[in-house]
Parts: sequence; structure tokens; C-alpha cells
Amino acid sequence: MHTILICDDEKDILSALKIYLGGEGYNILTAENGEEALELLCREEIHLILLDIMMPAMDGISALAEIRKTHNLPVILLTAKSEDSDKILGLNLGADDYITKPFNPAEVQARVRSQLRRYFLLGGGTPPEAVLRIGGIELCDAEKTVTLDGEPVSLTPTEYDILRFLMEHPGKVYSPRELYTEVWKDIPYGSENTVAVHIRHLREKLEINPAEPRYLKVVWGKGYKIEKQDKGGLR
Amino acid sequence: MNRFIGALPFKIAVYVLFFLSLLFSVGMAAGSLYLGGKSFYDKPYSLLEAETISSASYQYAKEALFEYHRELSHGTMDSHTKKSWEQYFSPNNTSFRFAIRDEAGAVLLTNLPQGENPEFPADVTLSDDTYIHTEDDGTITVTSVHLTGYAQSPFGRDDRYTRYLQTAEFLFTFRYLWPVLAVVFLLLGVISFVLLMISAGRRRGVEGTVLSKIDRIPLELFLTLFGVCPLAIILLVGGILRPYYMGAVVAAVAGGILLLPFLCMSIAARIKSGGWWKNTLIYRAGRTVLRAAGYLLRGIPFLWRALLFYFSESLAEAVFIVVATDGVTPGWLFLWLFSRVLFLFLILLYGAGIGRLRKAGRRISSGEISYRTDTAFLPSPLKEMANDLNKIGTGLDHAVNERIKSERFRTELITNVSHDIKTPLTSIISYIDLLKNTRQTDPDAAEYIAVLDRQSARLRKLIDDLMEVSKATTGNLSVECVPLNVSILLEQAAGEYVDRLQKQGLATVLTVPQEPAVISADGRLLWRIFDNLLSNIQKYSLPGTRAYISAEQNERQVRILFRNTSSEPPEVTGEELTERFVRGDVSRSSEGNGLGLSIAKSLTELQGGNFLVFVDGDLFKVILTFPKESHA
Repeated sequence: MHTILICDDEKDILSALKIYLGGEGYNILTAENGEEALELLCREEIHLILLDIMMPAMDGISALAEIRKTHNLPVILLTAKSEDSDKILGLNLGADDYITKPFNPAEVQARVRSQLRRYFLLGGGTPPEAVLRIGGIELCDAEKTVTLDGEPVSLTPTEYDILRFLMEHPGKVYSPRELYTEVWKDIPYGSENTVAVHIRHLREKLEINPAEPRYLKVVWGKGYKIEKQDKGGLR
Repeated sequence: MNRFIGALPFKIAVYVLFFLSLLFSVGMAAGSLYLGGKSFYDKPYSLLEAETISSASYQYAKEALFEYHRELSHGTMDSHTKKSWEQYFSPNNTSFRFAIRDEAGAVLLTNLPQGENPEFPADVTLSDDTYIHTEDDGTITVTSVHLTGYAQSPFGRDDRYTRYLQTAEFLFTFRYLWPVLAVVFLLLGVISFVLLMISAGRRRGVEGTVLSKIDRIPLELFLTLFGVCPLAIILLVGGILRPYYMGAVVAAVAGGILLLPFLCMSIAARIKSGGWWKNTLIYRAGRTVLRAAGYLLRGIPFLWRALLFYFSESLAEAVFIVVATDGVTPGWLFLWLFSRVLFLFLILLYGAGIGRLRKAGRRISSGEISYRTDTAFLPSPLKEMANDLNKIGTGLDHAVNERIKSERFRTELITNVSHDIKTPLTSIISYIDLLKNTRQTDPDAAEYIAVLDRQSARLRKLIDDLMEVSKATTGNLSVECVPLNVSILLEQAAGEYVDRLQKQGLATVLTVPQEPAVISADGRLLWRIFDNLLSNIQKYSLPGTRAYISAEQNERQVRILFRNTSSEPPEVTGEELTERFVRGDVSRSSEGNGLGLSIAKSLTELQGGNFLVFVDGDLFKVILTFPKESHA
């Protein structure tokens, strides 16, 4: 049983989140501003924090900075500011993920689940040699299996090949043409968007929100890449 | 038109035609004048006939005398010459009859048959003195001979009379034709000249005027090279070969006439292409001098220029005084010097002041709007100007600050409002979702919740789009343009949508160029444009039709086209569709908020592209044009 601290100044949102996450079987604590959250963090054993950015008394960004001084636990930012600069600031300050308001409740559940699994189930131990790991994705080439946050994902052989190739070269951008030659071992001829369709399917299987992928990124006009991430994705 | 007129063979043909016409025209005119001199136009033919006969007789008589002299001076004719001479004057071959006598009246030579009376009616008589050298003692004997001759009709032998009469009759019969022909050929010449001028500067397969290398030579140089030089060379060569000097002049004139149309053609081409005077040495030299002078003057500060003017003007005045008057009284000189000094003082005062104003004006106009002019020591009219300039600067400063402030305020307002709307919306969406998951007693409740769900999702999209629009149109969007390949982006975008479009029964046809079509753009923004367009296609296409996505490029541009068939005929024009909140259906019954195309347009323009929407019946077409990135 994990305990989750939800921190938001809107009571209605607080209680809605409480209902969603409580329904998933988590223990829920709530705070209405940053100071309250820090106080609770000292008193209780908390496993994950959902933190709103715009709050009175102490906003989410300063609260996050405070939390990171003493605690090591997953923090997901809740933000109505969908400005890119805010996201980057939050992630740089040590947030593990962010959700933009207005959010899809199912997405909140999925992201919370993903963070908790990665942190508490997969956090320790180094993976065996044959396993490629990027963030929450683990690819075991010997067994030809892929898991996302510990949950098995079923991929078609082509999708598997693409994913393996990209995971072998994290951070590097491959054009659809290059991917085709590498994966199909053939010259792409009149199959312009085959790769793009497969990538789309892969994203739908691996990402919580395929429109805003965390791992399998689209570099528009250039190609695709798997985002390079530090082991475990946490500090 | 240029296919004929611009062709080289055509030009050559017209050139030749021009000269032939001119030649014929001159020939005909000269002939007509000659005939006029011979009274062809005012005398009856019978008179002309008699004149012609006597003229032929005269020619024969001269020949006979000449031959006779030849015989005398050479002693006796050699047999061969004599034979041909006898043949020539034999009565069978000519109708001319003659007898040459000496002073005593004895017949020396005649072509009358033997025995015929040498006394005959004379049409023509000629007398001549013949000097005969006798070899031994060097004395000269002078013998006078006298020829009488007449034409014995009927004519009909193949002799001079027949030929002269035939010619005269021919010329007389058509005597009115020659001047007419002269005019006709003149007209033909004029027409071919005009044609040549029209064809000048035209070239086959090329629109407009084309200047050849020759046409680009400065005009004076060109005229010298191709007009004066050839003529001079001809005259020079003629001068060296002295005996043919007149011939050289004729050749020079002929050459000049030959060259004239060529010169005219080049001039015509220059005039047609506009600004012919720019390609003259005089213009070029003048411009260079003026520019150099302007450059030099601009290099000198204003005050120095004023002083330069002052001193040159003083010098001119001094020279005038010395030259025009034979002496000045010291009083006047003093007065003049005094006025000079006063003038100098004024020049310094105003020159320095204007220099300061100029500097201030330039600084302010180049964007340094906080610059203020120092008004100390300025003469009062300049001081007023300086004050006004300072006021303009202050006003500008104020306006720019206001503008920046309001811009910032606007952006903040939009961000804040959107945040304030999003917070309650989050609650609404969350609780609708919760409601969905609770058991409803009323069977209608589920339906109502579905409506709430749909409409709140729409509201959410609207707010996102509104923010996007405001950011894109106020330029509050960071655009990071990098060279990227449109083909790859289109493949990626099509890949994203292929499944969704298939679900709607829409087939996607993607055509991209083989060579990389590289433009400078922000990949994320370009994807958002394509995303909007493709989602429009998904929403508004007639099921069972095809959506065409293509890119094409030339040396300068890359064009991206999206084409689909609308399910319902759009009720507005393409232009209106890109305006905010305008949708194809005026009734607004379908989903969508009418911001998609407006956002796409703003984002395209933000990246330096051009966005056009065409509605042609049911065909809906969006064309994006971006300048091609050359170095990639």
C-alpha cells in the first residue's frame, strides 16, 4: 500500500483526485499549499507527491526545491501552465513527470502507477547484460520480450525490431529511410509512411499519452529517436 | 511572334530585302529622272523615234571615224582587224551608210556598194582633223576629213538601230511604271526597315528584349567601332591606293549604307530595353564623377562644407572685384571685408547648429529614440527645431514604452485568463468522469453525461487553440528554425494519421519529391500545422474519397499541398476560412471551433511561409509555400 500526497489549492480537484487514486487502492493525503505539503512530508511516510504549481502561500516550484533538499521520492507536477518553459523548469528542478491541466483522470492514474512501479519495483539492482533499459522500458533480447514499468507489452516482430534498434542507439535520430534500411534490410521504395505508421503504433503501446511521448520521440522533419535517460530515471 | 521575328534567318532575309528594295528604288527613280530629261513624258513617240535613230547614227559615225583614224595612224590595218571592221560596217549587218571624204571631196572610205552615188541625203555629218606624222623628216601633215552618213530604212538587221528602237519603245510603253515601281520599292524598303527595327532585340523562344553582347557596348564606343571605324578604314585604304580614291569614297558610302540598318537595330534594341542613355560613356562618366563628388562631400562634416562654400564664394567675389573693376577704394574694401567676417560668423553659427540637428535626427531615426539635442548656443530658429525634435523623441519614447507595456500586459492576460479557465475546467472534466463511473438511476442521465463529456472536451480544445492563436499572432511563440526535410515530415505526419483516416474510409495518397526538399522551419510548429490540416481532412472529408498529400519543389520554393473532397460543399470562400472562428458550415453544427486554419496560417507565416486555401466546388485545397533552403 503506497501513500500519495496530493497538493492543490482547488478543493474540488483535490477531492476528485482523491477519489480516482483512492479507487486504485492508494493511501491518500492532501495539502492545500506547499508549506502544508512540506509539513506532512516530515510527519508521514509518503511515497509519491502530486504537486500543483500555482498555489498560494508556497508555490509548487519552491516546494519542489525544498522537497528535493531532503527527500528522494517521485514527484509529479500538476500544471495549468502548458508553457514549455515551465515544464523544463520543473523537470530540471527534479520533478519526475508532469501532467497538464485539464487532465484526463485515466492519464493521472497511469502516470502515478508508472512512477511508483519504476521507483519501488525496478529501482534496485542492475539489469542483466542482455537487457536494454531506457526509463521504464526493458527489452530482453534473449526472450524477445518488452516490459513497460514491469508490465509486459505485446509487440509485433517489426515493432520489436524498430524498438530494439532505437534502444541500442539512444539519443540518436534516424530518418524513416534509415530505419527502413536498418530494420527491413531493404531499400525503401514507395513505402514512405510504413515506418511512421509502425512508430505510431509503438507509441500507442509504450506511451501514456502518445501525443506527448516520454520515450519514443518524433523529431519532426528529421526522424525518430529514443530519449536518452539516466538509469532508472530518478535522482 | 518572337518565333518568326526573333529568328536569325528571318533577320538576314529582311536585311537583304531592305538593300535590294533600296537598290531597285534608287535605280527606278534615277531611270525615271533620266527619261524625264529625255522628254519621255511630254513628246509623242514619233519624235522620240527620230531622235533615237539620229542618236544611233551619231554613235555609228563616231565609231567609223575612230576606226578610220586608227587605220591612218597605224599605216594600214592588219588583215584581221580590217576584216572584222568590214564585217561590222557591211551593209548587210547595219542600216548605217556613210562616206568619209577629204577636203577635196574625194571618197576615202565608204560602206556604200561600189557605184552607188556617194552623194546622198545626210542625216549626220562629222568633221575631224587628222594629224599625220611622217617618220623621216618629222613634219606633221594635217588632213581634214569629213563624214556624212544616214540611216537607211527599213530597219530590221541585228544592229544598233534595232536595239535602240526596241529599248526606246519598251521604256516608252511602260514609261509610267518606272516611277510607280520606284515608290513601291521605296515602300518595301521602309517596311523591311521597320521590320528590322521590330526584330531588333527579339530572340527566338525568349520573352521580351534580349540585349546581345554588341548591344551592351557603350553607345559611343559602339558607333565608333561599327560606324566610324569601317568607313575610316575604307577611306584610308583608298587614300593609299591613290588612283582609286573616288572608288574608295563610293565604297565608303556603300559600306555606310550597308551598316546603317545594323547600327539602327542595335539602337532600337537599346531603346526597347529601356534606359538606353545609361549605357553611354557620357552617362557613365557623369555618374561616376557625380557619385565621387557626392561621396567626397558627404565625407566632409556639414560645417566644413559650409566653410568650403564660403571660401570659394569669397574667392569668386574677390576675383570678380579685381577683374571687373579697375581698382577699389580702401573704404569699399574695408566694408567688403567687414561683411565677409560677419557672414563667416553667421555661417559658423548656423553650420554648427544644423550639423547638431542632423546628427540628432539621424540618431533618432536609426532607433536611438532616447537621444536629446543640446539646445545651448543655437540661433533661435534652429532652437525651435531642436525643441520640436526633442519633443518628437519624447513622444516616440513614450509610445514605444506604452506599446511594450501593453504587449506584455496582453500576453500576461491571456496566460492568466487561460489558467483561470483551466482550473475550473479541470474540476468539471474530473467530476463528469466520476459521474460516468457512478450508477445512474435515471436512464436518460447517461446520455446527459455523455453530452457534458463531449462539450467539456470541446471547451478544453477551444481554450488550448485560443491560447495558440494568441501566441502565434502576437509573436509570443519561440520559433527555432532549422533546415529540415519536408518529405520526411510529410511521411511522419501521414503515418500519424493513416489509421485515423482509414477508419473514416479515407485513403491517403502521399507524393514527395525524390530529392530532399529542405526548408528552414521549426519542426514542432510545422507538425502542428500539418496536424491541424490533417485533422480537418479527417473531420470534413467525404467518406470513400482520397486525401492527397504532396510536396513539390523548384529552385526557389517548396510547395506543400493538401487536397481532399469535402463531405458538404463549403459555404464560404477559402479566404474567409482562414479567418478566426469561421467554419465551412455557417450553421456551426459540426465539431470544431474554426480556429484550426487560422492557427495553421499564423504558424506558417511565423516561419516565413505562405498559406493559401482554395475551395473549388467540393475540392478543398491548402497550399503552403516555403522558400527553399539552398545550403543544405
